[in-house]
Amino acid sequence: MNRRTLEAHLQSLFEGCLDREGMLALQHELRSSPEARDAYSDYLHLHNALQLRAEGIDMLHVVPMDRIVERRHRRSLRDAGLSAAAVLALAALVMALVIARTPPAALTFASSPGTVLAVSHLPEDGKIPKGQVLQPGSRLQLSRGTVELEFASGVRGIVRAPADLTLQREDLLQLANGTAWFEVPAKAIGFQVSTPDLILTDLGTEFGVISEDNFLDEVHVFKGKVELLNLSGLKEKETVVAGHARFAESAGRWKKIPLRRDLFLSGLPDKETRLSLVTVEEFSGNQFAYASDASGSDLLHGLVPKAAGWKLENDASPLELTDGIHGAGFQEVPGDMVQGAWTQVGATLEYDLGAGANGLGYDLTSIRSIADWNSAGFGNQAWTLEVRPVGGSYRILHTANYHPLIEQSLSGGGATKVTLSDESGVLAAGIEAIRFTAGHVANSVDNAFVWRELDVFGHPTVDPGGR
Amino acid sequence: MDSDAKQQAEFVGQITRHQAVLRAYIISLMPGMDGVSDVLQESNIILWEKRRNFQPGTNFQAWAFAIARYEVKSHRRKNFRPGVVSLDDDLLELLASHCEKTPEETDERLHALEACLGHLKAEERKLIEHRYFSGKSLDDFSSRSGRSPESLSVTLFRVRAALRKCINGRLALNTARP
Repeated sequence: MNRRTLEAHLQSLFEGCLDREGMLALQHELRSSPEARDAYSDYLHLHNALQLRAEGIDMLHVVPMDRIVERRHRRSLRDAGLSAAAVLALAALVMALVIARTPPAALTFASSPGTVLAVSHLPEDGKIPKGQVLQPGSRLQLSRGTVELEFASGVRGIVRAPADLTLQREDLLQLANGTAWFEVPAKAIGFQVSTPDLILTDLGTEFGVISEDNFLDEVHVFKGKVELLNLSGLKEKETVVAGHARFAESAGRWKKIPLRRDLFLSGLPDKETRLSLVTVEEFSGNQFAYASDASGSDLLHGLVPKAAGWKLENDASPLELTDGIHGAGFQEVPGDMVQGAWTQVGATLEYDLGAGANGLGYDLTSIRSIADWNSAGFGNQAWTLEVRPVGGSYRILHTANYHPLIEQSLSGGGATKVTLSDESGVLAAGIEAIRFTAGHVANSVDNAFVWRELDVFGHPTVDPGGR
Repeated sequence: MDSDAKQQAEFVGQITRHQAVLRAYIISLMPGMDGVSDVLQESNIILWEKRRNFQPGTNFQAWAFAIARYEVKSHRRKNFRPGVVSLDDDLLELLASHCEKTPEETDERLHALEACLGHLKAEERKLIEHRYFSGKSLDDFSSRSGRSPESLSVTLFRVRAALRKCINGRLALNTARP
C-alpha cells in the first residue's frame, strides 16, 4: 500500500467511513508495517486534538466535572425514565469536592464497573442528600451491575441488577425486586427487608433475598436466624435458621428449598457485568409447538446426567430431556403420560461433557430449552444454568424465569421455548460440565413444570495458540 | 482543607490532567465509531466512583486506561451491529498500546496543532473548523462555499496530511532543543 492510500484509509477510518475492502487492506498494512502504525498514531492524535479543540476543553486548566455531572444526569434520567424532578445522587461528583463534611447518611453506596443506576430522593426538609447516599424515602433503581450498601447501623448489603429498592426507614429496606445479600452485626438486630411477598426481620445473621416479578420470593439464611412473615393468604410466620432456605408459597405458607450461597455476591465484583448474552423467549398456545426444534445431535444427546430431586411418576424421567424427542412420542390423548421430565423446585441435573477432543473442554454456543403441558403453568419454565470450566468450579451463566402461560385456561395446552446465545458467538469457553437447577413457576401444582427437551450446542475448545 | 478534601482535589487533578490521553486511548480502541465522548464520561464516572481504590503514587494512567478499556468493550457490545466492519480486537489493542502518550506529550501536540492551524489558508481553516466545530456534512459547507463535496473532501484530506506533517515537524524541533 502506498503512502497516499494509507493516509486516505486512515483518515476514512477515523471518519467512520472506511468500507470493508479498505478495512481489510488497512488491517493487513497495520499488522505488517511499523510505519503504518506510526501513521495511525499520528492521525489518531490529530483527530483527537481537533475534536478536543472543537469541544472547547482546555485540558490544561479546566476541570470538566460539571460536564460529567451534566451528562450523567441526562443519561440517568433517560435510562430510568425518572421525572424531571428526580435528583441524581451522582451530583455528588461536584458537591463532594466542595463540601468535605456532611452529616452521617442513613445509607451510603458504591458500585461495580459498568453499573447503571438512578437515584431519586424525597427529602422531607427540601434538602437533597449529597453524595452517593440514601436517606429515608430515597429510591435506587439498578438496571445493570452491582451496588454495595453500607447502612449507618453497620448493616452491609450487596444488590445485583435488575433491582429496585427504597429505603423506608434506617432499619427497613423495601426490595421491590432484585437479588440482595445482607450481613447484619449484633448492634443492628431487628433490621428488616420487605418484598412484595414477605417481611424479613433479622435476628443477628447473614442472609440472602431474591425478589423477582412473577416469581415467588426466596430467603436463604447463611448465619444466625431470621423471622419471616408471608404476606399472602395464610400469612404464616416462620423462624429460619442458618443452613436453610424458603420460598414464599402463594397460599401464604413457607416451603423448603435448597440453600444456594452461589446465587449471591458478598462483595463488589471488580469486573463489569456480562452484557452480551442474548436470550430469546417464545411461547405458543399449542402444546406441541417447537417439536421440530428438538435436537438429536447436540452435546447432551446420549449423556446420562447425575439427577436429584425429580418426580418420576407417570413415566416422567429426566433422562428423556436430551433424547431429541418432543411431541413425536406422546400418546393420543395429550398429557396422559409425561414424556419428558417433571420438575420439583430445586431438582438438579449435572452433565459431564468431559475434556473434549483437544483436552480443553467445550465452547458452548447456544442452549435451547422447551417445556410444555396441556394445562396452565406446567408449560412455563424456570431454571438456573451453571457451567464449570476445565479444572475450575461452577459459576452461574443464566437464570431463566419465563411464565407467559399464567393466564391460560386449565383446558388449554401451551409450550415455551428459551434460547440462549451470545453476541460473541460463544456463551462460555472451555467448559467440562454443566448443571441445571429447576426453579419454581407460578400457578402450577407444586410450582413444577414439564421439561420436554434440553439441547446444548457447541464444539471442542481450540487452543488459540494452536499448540 | 482537611486530608480527605485534599485527596479529592488531587484526584480531580489527575482526572483532569489525563482527559486528553484518556480520550485518545478510547478513540484508539474504537476508531471511527460514535460515542467516544459518552465512553469518556462513563469512564470518568467510574474513576470517580472507584477513587478510593486508587493508591496515590501508583500509575494513574494505567488504572484509568484499564477502566476505559472495559467501558469501550461495554459500549461496543451495546452498539454491536451485524455487518459493520472494524479492525480486529487484537490489532486494536496493539495499536492502542503503540499510540499511548503521556499528558505532557499530548499537551505538546495540542500546542503544536494550534501553531500549525495558524499557517493554514483562511479557506482551509474554515473547512477544518466546519468539519470539527459544526459537526455538519461537507454538503452543507459545499452549498455555502460553492465547491463540490468531492473537491472539499480532497482538500480536507490534504489539510489533515499537512497538519500531521507540520505537527511532527514542530515536535521534532522541540526535542532538538537543548
